[in-house]
Amino acid sequence: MLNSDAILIMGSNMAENHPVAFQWIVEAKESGTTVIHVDPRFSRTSAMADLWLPLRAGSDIIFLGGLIRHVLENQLFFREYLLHYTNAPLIIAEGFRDTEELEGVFSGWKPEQHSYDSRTWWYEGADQRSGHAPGPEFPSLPVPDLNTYQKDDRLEHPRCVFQILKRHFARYTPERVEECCGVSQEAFQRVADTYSQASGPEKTGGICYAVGWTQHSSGVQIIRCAAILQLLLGNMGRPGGGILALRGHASIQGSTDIPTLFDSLPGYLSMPIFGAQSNNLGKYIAQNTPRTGWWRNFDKYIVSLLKAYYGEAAQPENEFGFRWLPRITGDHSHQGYWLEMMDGKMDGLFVMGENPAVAGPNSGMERRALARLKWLVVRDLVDTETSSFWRSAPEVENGEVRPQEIPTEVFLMPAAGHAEKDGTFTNTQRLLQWHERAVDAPGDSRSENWFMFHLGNLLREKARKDPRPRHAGLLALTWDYHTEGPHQEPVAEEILEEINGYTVADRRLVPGFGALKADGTTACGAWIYSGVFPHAHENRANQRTSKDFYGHGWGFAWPADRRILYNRASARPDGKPWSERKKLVWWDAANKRWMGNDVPDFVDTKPPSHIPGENAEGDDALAGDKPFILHADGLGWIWVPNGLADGPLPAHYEPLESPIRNPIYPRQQVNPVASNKKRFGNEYASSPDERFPYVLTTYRLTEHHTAGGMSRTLSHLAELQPEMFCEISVELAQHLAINPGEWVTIVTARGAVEAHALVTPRIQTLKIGARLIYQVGLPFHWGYSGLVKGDIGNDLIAISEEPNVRIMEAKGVLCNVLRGRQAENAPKVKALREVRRD
Amino acid sequence: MKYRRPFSEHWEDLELSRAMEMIADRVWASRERTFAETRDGDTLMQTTAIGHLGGATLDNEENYLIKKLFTAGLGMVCISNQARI
Repeated sequence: MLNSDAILIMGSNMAENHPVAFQWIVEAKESGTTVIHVDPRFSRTSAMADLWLPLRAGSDIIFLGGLIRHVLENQLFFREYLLHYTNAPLIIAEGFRDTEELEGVFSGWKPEQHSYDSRTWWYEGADQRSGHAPGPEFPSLPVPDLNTYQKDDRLEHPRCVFQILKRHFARYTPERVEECCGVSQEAFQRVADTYSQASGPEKTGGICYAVGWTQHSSGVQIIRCAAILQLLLGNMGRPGGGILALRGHASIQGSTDIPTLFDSLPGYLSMPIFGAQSNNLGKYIAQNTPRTGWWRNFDKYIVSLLKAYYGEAAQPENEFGFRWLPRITGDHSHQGYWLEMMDGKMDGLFVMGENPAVAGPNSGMERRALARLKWLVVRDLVDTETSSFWRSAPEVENGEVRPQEIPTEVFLMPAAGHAEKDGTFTNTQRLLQWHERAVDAPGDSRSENWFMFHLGNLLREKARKDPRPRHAGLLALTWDYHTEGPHQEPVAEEILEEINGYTVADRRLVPGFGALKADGTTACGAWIYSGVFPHAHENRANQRTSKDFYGHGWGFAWPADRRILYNRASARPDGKPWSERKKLVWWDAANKRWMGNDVPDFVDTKPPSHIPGENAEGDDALAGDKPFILHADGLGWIWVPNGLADGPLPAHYEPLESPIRNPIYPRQQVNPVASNKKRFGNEYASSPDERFPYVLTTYRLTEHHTAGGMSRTLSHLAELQPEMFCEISVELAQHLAINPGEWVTIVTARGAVEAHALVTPRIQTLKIGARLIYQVGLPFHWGYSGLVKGDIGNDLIAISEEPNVRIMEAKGVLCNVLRGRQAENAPKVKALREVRRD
Repeated sequence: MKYRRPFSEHWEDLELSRAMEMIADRVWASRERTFAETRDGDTLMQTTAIGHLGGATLDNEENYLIKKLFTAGLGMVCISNQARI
């Protein structure tokens, strides 16, 4: 960030929630970087920024679309970057129709299936040749050949991405931004002018975001706007550029890389999907292997993973144990299976270091669902709201639910904290850092490694006595980690070594994913992490000697310790840096390799002049000026031809509950592909709804951590932020005759909570069209356990799923605010929440 | 560690190794009852009766073992954590 000429922070309160990272923003500002903050609330981030713009929660695509339009109309894009490194010049299939032509949906919309057929979004000519790597034929989804395309380098062809983009965002004018976001045209113009200057050979700009962008029914498309903007401005892969996803837990990046998620395997490999195309390894590989680009290596990664999982038992004859992996048959995500739990379809649940009774959407419903389980195992540092749902939840306190009627067996197991165990975390910068056990965990506290290892041993013992095929995978697992210490903790380094990968014959660690093979001679738990432990005793995650500006020598950034992804784009097509000021990696003609201040994110011997042969595959099929090597075309995707459920371009839809009708597409109010999961207990307000006239957003505080298990239980943090509060504007307080500090009740279609009113100009009333929209802010940290207690903000939020990643919409929700406490407001709350029969 | 019996209003103490056996028994029983190797002739190898939640506060090594045992070993597909990628 020190290299940025401008920084845009949006959907984030970085100063308060990422204070350690924010020091770099402060330092950048002190050396001349302009810092812009766009957020419904004026926070400490805003106080440190040069410019703060309040906007209506849920109107982000209009604002960002406005910035995109500004860049296009005023020709502020970085033309040479655009032409060579993005798909702006590429021509799209003739059958494509934009939302501008179809009143809010793209071509291919199938209402009965609630999904799109995305074939009209492909490049012209992409359907002429299979995009699959050579392999067995099979009847399933066709994969476009994205490396076959036509383009117009003058950017004039009516169906080139650039022209479609212009038409698509033409109506996102400054006037529209003012009407729909509540941002004055003058303020918008200032941001547009400032940020778009951070572009070109000599300048770059960076964008930071957090859950203010992600927790929306169009969250992915909001982020896509940032991708389009950064590609137009030539800011990807360059120092001071990029898009930083500010993640919200110690190792949430790690937990997506090595995913405790249902639909992926380590290193972003797909879980096999039930059906004919996953019946054998060959078909599954073919389905997932494009003919061109780096993912051509998919087979090496899945086979190496299978060898890591199943060891000796995984052989070519049995497809390396591929058959033992489960296939996915539906929505097995948190919200997906929780509704199954609600319907009594699940037996048991493990919860480790998460607290859904507070942090889940529609947390009241989540708590009720827990009571439908036969058994629940909670592993945490304290007795949380989740482990105590059966005795202290509000539903229990008020008599709605009685413990004597809850059959759920609960095991509460104390877990080791990060100072009590060895292991790695991965942060926002993709940096793996090892932490060492400083003290032994007390009493019965154990690490999750301990728990999984010993549970696995007990289960494998049972499987040995019953060796039917259904237990083959369990018995095949490589599960022979050494243990140490009085509690027999597995040696965490051995697990990291397995993740790094090794050659099977001699168990030597591999230096990186380049050494992985598809023939069963290598094993690797996560190809993207390979290289973290390249030799015995060389744990790069545990290195702490920073050698240069980018921190090489401190920790290990995946992949291959590249600190800035796609850094080939920091050089011109001919391999020289765009400028001395912004140099990062460059082609050294004398040594015939890429060199510079970062590990090149490129085959380091591939010259800029490389032209692929006619039938080239994999990375060889990408020319020497194609930086985005994980894409089949090697290009930055301003247009997403394949892979997103809700469109090749972002379009503005209102949140699932909104105070206004969609001003851009009156006939398509919400994201057509989002799932609202409407059901009893998960109801919605109308858009608009006179019962719920205000817009609610939720957020975090510095002093508390997520659901509060690690902060409301500590006296010093509890003292700093003891009580739940509700932030309302001065105008709303006057409107409702609420005095500062008084109790208020906040109500949505899902529930009601009470809090003290914090009356403040930090949260602003916005003029949206002819109306004044009041916004309300709620921190989400409080619950019924700990030293300080309070109502649970997420009781107000609905269970819903964004189409691509299934995240819930926790910002831009409709609410009402009543003077007084919940008990005295009970009749009013009941009336508001009564489901209307219309 | 603590244990709550069905329908109970309070916690009891439970010995850790006893708890591990009880948990293993329950996982085994649920899986035995619900695991399916195939459906309509296609490979399934799955149970949806047992779920897992959590990971963002855990180490990479721990997430690795959770996915390895629960998914690659037991065929549990209902695995989720705080992240949505």
